[in-house]
Formats: sequence, structure tokens, C-alpha cells
Amino acid sequence: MLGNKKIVKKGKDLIVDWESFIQNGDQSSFYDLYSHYHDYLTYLGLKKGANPEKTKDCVNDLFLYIYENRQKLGHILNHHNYLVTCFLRKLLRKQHFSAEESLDLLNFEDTLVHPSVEALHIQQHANASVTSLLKSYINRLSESQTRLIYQKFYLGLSYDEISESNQITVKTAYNTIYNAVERLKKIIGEEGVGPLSILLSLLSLLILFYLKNS
Amino acid sequence: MLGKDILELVNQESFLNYCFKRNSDDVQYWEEWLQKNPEDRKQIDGFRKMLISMGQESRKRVNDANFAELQHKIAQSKVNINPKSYPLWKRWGIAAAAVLLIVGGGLFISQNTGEIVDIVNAKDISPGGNSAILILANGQKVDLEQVANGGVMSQSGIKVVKKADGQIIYEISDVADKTASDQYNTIETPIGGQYQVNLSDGTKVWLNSGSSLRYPVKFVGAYRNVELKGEGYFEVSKNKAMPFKVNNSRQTVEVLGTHFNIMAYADEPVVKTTLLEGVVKVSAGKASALLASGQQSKLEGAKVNVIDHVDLEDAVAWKNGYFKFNESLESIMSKISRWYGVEVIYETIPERDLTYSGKISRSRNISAVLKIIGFNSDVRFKIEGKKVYVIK
Repeated sequence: MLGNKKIVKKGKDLIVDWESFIQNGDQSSFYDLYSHYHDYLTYLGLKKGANPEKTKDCVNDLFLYIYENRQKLGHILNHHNYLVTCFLRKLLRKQHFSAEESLDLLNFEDTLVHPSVEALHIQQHANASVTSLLKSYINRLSESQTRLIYQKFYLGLSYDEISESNQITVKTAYNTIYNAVERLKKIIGEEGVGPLSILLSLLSLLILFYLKNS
Repeated sequence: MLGKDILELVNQESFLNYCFKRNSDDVQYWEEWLQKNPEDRKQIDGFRKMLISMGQESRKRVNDANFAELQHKIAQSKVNINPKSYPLWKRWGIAAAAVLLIVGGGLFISQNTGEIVDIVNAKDISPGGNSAILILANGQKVDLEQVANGGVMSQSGIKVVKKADGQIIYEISDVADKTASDQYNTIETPIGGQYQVNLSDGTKVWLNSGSSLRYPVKFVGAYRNVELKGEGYFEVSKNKAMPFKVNNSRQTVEVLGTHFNIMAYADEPVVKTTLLEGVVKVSAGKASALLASGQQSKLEGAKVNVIDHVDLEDAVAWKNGYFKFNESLESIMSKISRWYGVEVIYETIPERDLTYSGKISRSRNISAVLKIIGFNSDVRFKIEGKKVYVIK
């Protein structure tokens, strides 16, 4: 099947998806565009100190607009600049920062937001049961905890930036992340993810037990 | 040795920059540090992998949740891309329904006719459609094809309304009888039939061909219990106080409110439960597993295996009106035999390890589907009456 080949994509590489969505309304291209720019624009928004809720609304408003108006967007040559500019305009309306500042962001290196080749490798070669363990663990966290982990371990924002955009203290941001890591580490044991797959059948039972009783 | 102090590294931006390769100075610093402290390398590596995976899983969750919200907005909005509108996720594959992909082969489109499928007596076989039998609590059998659209059947104050498109809906009125609670109905789809039923709690169930669902006309008690034979796709309405249980002779699936597909035909060796949204618990005898969205459990014998990142489209293609194959020929043919009501006879033994993939609308005649399979493989077919011969 497809999908095994993953490379680190830049927004500009998505021109194919942009065109196939604009011309044919291709749904999976729309999803791919969303999936990529969701991270990138969230990063920009939070970096600017906008709060996560507003940032998400601006991303979704933008994509709703594109979805409904694709037939009017055939003239856009540089989708990347278009998306970033529209997003920032939407954000600006709700948030105060200067327009000049936003221009610098247009040429921002967007691979920074996305996982390194190595991270993708780890993801692809992770033991299926470890991944499923992690997944059920993450799904059990509260929405705000998950959001902070996403901002820290995926978008790579600093604790200062996270504290500002989420309107919490640096200490709270740090403690939330620390506690989530500590709890998971306790669940997985002291050995780290790698060698642990052997113990996993046993552990998933423990987790089930834990989930059942929580 | 770092020991438990390793957790403190979460506080160090430089260590995190190293983990996520965001700053070359930090990467260099930590590489050097590891060379000086080789005994910590294993622990650091494991820890780093864990943080990376946490980042990716949380990203998936945030991204999925936000995209779902966007889909909801799109669905609510009046303007739609196609005049005929389905929720976004249902549509992903439909556009490509005619496109055929064969593993290892690439894309093949051919006008070839007559060779791959030999139709004796020139009688093609038409596809299945919306048909089902509803068995009421008093044992009365109603052929739903014979009921006019908008037709209403009433039992103990509960209305069952037949909708235009192969769908019945249970509606509880204020005057519902107390006796309604212990009355069960069963809906049965024949081979070549499919039907949708909306239960009295708002749960929607799509039944594939050769399947049945038994359910109370009104749910009472601690659980909402239903019994499934064959294959069904469920969109369970949320009710945390009253979990929904899908029982089958081989397994039980327990949920609070979520979307999933269960394939549990008696003649299939494996029972597959595929989760599109939320969390479900699958149990079979002493074995059980918790599924997260995107996961599939396979029950083989007494063992439950969980598979990650399955192609969700594969599992629900039938409900969206097409076949999506990515499996052995035998498995494909059993799907075909259930939808076209044919008997499959192998004059040549298909190789079990060979995977055939392809996508085609379920509303095509059988010859179109067989042609797609035959295009890039060495099998051919002969249709005689209601029998399909697999030949070389």
C-alpha cells in the first residue's frame, strides 16, 4: 500500500494537493492540506501569543472559506503565501500585532514545525503495541494536557511561549508536561520504550485495569 | 547514572532541542555529553523516543479533533461542493471509485472486454440493493421492500417509519406503552441486501448483506444490548449512563458512543472490529482489548490482536456504496458472493499470499467487478447462471 513512504514535506511541496483540490475538489488533498497547515499555522499563531482557541478558530475559518470558495481560487499561484496571509489577516482582526511583523513570517522555515526525518523513522518503526499503548494513554489525557504536549513535543514551542499563549504560568506549563511524562514513564517502566515491547502484553492488561477503575 | 533524574530533563530546553533536532548547537552539546556518559545512552535514547512519540500521538489527537470540528462546520454550512452531499469523510474515496490500483502493478485502465469474464448465456448478474425483512415482537414478518416509503408500523406506541432510501427509524412517542421495554425486533438483510435502521435511542446501524440485528424497541436497564450477526456499521448515540453493547456469538463490543464497523460473518475465520471514532472495548471469552480510533481488532480463535493505523476506508467502503479490496482473492470473492448472491467455484486454486486491491462501485453488474480483479492478475472468470467459476 501507499503511505509507507513519508518524507518531511514543506508547505510549498503541497502544490499538487492544492491544485487537485482547487480543480477537482479532491477530498483527500483537502485533508492533506489541512493536516499540514494546521500545524504550521497553529505554530505561527501561538508564537504570536494568540491563544490556542482563537488560533484554531482562525485555521478552521480559513479552511471553511477555501472549501466553499474553491472555484473562485483558481488564480492563486502561491498557495503557501495565500494561506499564511489569509490566516494572519484573520488572526489580526482578533489580535493586536503589527502587519509588518507578520510579513517576516511568510518566509519562515516551515520544516521546523514538522517532525524530523528521524522522528518519522521512529514513528514508522515503533512497535505496534507500543504505539497503541501510547495512543490509549494520550487519549486518556485531558484536552488541555494533550494540547500542551502537542505544543511542546510536536510544535516545539518554548515554555515561555506556551505560558504566554495559554495564559498559564511557566511553572504550570512545565508541571503539566512533567506530570504527563512521569505518569507515562511509570506505566512503561524504567527501561524506556525500546526493550519494553516484551512486557507489553502484561502492561496492556494493567492499563485496562487502570482505565476500568479510573 | 541519571536514574530518576532523567525526568528533570523535560525542564531543559536544550535537551528538548536535542530530542527534536531543532538547534544544532544543542544537538552537538548532547552528542558530546553522551560520549562522555555512554552508560546513559540507552536510557536517554528510550526517553527521547518516548517524548517524540508523545508529541506525535498528541498531534494526531489535536489535529483530528480540530478537523472534525471543521467537518462539522462544513456540514452545517449551506454551500456544498457537490449537489449531493455526504459528510466529508464518506466522500474521500467515492471520487476515485472507478480507479483501480493493483499492488505491484500500478494503474491499469483497459477497455478489454469479453476476455476476462466469460458470460455464458449472456446473462450478467445485477447487484444487490436495499432489501430487508423486519420481524416484529409478535413474530410478524414484514418485507420492507413491500412497505411504501413513509409507511408506518406501530407497536406498543412506538412508531417504525420507513424512509425513502432503505432506512427505517424508530420513534418513541409520549404514549409509549410500558410493555414496549421488553419487546424485541429483528431486522434481517438477505444475501444481496442492505439496510439502515435508526434505533429508538438515536443510534444508527447500517447492515451489510446476509446480516441481522436484534434489538429492543425501547432501551431500558443498565445497558443497551443488541445482537449482531454478519456485518454492521454503528454510529452509537452518546449516553454515558447506559453503555451500548453489541453482542455476537464470538465477541462483545462495549461502547459509550462512537463509530465503528464489525465484520462477524459466521463463515469468516476472523471477526474484525474497526474503530473510526472514540474508544471501544472488545471482549471475547477471557481476552479483551481497548481500541482507539484508527485501530482494528482481529479475533482469531480465542486471540484478540490489535492492529494500528488501518485503512478506515477499507472497513466502511461497503456502507458508502463501493467495494475496496486489499486482500486475498478468496476474501474478495466471499464479499462478492454475499452481494451478488452467487456461488463461487474455484477451478484454479488462488494463491493465498497474493494481495489484490481495487475499488469499484457496488452498484455495477458483477462482470464489471470481476473485470477489475482480472485486469492485472492471471485469473479469469466464467459466469453461468448464479455460479462464478474462477479459472486460469
